[in-house]
Amino acid sequence: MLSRDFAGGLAAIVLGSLYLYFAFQQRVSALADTIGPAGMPKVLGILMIALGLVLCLQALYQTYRLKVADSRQWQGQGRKLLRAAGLLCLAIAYLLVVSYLGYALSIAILLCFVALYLGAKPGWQLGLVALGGATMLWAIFVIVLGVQMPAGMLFQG
Amino acid sequence: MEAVAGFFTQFFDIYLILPAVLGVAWGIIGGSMPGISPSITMALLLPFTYALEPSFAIVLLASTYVGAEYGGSIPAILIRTPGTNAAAASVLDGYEMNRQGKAGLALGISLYSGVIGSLVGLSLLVMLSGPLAQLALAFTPPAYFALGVLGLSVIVSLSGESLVKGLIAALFGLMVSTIGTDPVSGISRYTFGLSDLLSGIQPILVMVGLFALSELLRQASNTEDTRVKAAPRIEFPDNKLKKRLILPQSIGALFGGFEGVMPGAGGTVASFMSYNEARRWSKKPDEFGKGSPEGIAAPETANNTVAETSLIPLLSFGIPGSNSTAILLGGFLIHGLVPGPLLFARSGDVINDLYVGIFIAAIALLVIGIMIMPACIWLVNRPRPYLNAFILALIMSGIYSINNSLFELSVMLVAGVIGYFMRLLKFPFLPTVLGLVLGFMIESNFRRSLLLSGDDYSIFLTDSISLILLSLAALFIIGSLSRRLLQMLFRQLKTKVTDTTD
Repeated sequence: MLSRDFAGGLAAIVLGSLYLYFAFQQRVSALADTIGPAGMPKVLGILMIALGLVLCLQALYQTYRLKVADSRQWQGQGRKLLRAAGLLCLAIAYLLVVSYLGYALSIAILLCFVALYLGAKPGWQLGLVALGGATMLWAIFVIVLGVQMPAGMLFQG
Repeated sequence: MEAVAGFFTQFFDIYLILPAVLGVAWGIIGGSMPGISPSITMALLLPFTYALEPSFAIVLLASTYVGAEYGGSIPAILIRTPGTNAAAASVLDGYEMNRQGKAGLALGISLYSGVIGSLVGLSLLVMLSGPLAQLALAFTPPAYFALGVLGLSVIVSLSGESLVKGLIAALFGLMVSTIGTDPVSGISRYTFGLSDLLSGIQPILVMVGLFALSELLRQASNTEDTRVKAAPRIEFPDNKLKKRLILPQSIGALFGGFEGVMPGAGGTVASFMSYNEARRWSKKPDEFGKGSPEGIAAPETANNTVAETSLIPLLSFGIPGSNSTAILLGGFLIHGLVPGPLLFARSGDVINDLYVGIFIAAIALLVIGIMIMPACIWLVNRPRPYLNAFILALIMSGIYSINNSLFELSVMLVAGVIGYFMRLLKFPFLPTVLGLVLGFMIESNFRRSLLLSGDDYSIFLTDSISLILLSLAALFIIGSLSRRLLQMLFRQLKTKVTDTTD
């Protein structure tokens, strides 16, 4: 079983490699200084890969020294990850519909669905929180702060 | 005389009183909710500050920090769950006092000590940050580069358990800082044809995503719901008890002053160290852990002192030493104010307003702390699903309101997902924020220095300020590494001794 440190090290290596690849693809101007726009990214990419390797080696050493990989550190993480992904999907859904439905309606729907998803019971209380919360946020942003929130296309005809 | 008159004019300025009072109230509410740290409380407020005047916005954020440090002690005393990390030390004796039916007195001691800590911290802030910033007025590009390196050297002490993870997190922040237009040649980097990325990634989007959204994602699977059963009234200590509290409060102020100035140390370290020393110097050390008033006074004075002294490295050099000051830095940047020596020269009025605002906030803490207690208890008792749904809606609305951009909202969501995985894999956030904030300064000044010197690297050693700052960075790194090494050796030695004894 991979330890969290090993997974972190691996992620750093992948990220560093991708970043370094694009650093080498970087267009350089004839007027650029000797370091150039790709200079720092190349150094950062190499350092990221090197540190990722160090973290992986450290993790392997610890697993070897302790003889057993601690599988408990991943216990229950799959379910937690799915719960977080669900919440993220609701936020993305808001992002996708806000231009069509407008701010006030979208934020009320977001409040309602997120509260339901997090364990609130359906009922008048939920409706009140969604409507009251949306009205309050709309008042703060649109009336008090004067922010132009998306009006939505649905009701504009 | 003129200065005193000026101070009182500002003291009664409604545009300073309002943000100070609102900030303290919001801070107490945020701090009193377990899981919502001072930095998250401030991050939630950050998008609102766009539409505000610079002084109003900065005072609002700084006062939130002051309020949150006290707010953290409310759930620590009432439900044995610290609202902030720094309030963890207050659990030890605060909850015991609550069990003995003295919750009101425990909250009163916490509030009273918090105000003292804030005032001591403010005095140190006023005395030290100005002169330090004066020194930095003579900065050249090599000196600015060295200052950035000094700022990054803090990572060694900020990395928590793993230095390698801290460095990776910092590199990630530096990588994000390279997105956008190259500071010297003007060529776009890592924009992938997206015009929205040409001006780079704004630190505020990353901060709100990392600190606030990732916490909400983490709490999505948390069904724990703790409730406050009692509703105590705040009771201040009498004169006899006040006399007894002078020593632990002095110890707290001393540690808070010292640890606040040291980037990376923060309120948690100061609280626990002062708690420990207060017990050592107390006439009644046996009472500690069993409901000692001194056990609340020392850590509460310490963490409230840190709330002000941690602004010293931020205001003087532009280096945030904690999550909360990193958010405050975001507040400055939003208004085009760059903390550091030039801030004192160009926007001295904002600094003065900040000092007066913090003073008002410290005084307001006494009144608001009493008034807002029922509201805090009511909020702590709200069902988590409603609270978290509202916080998510607030974040989504706030981030959109910055530039009316759905693209920025998606960047914040991406930062939140990255933050979630960083939490999962136990990577610290602050190095990432430091890398992101200091990356531009380091790269642009490094390359400008080389352009000035004709690619002669010795410019970093011939410039006296640069040499001093680089030496300080080296000393800081060596010192922090030695401390880590000693701690490691001590732990190994302890394990060996335990094994032998067994």
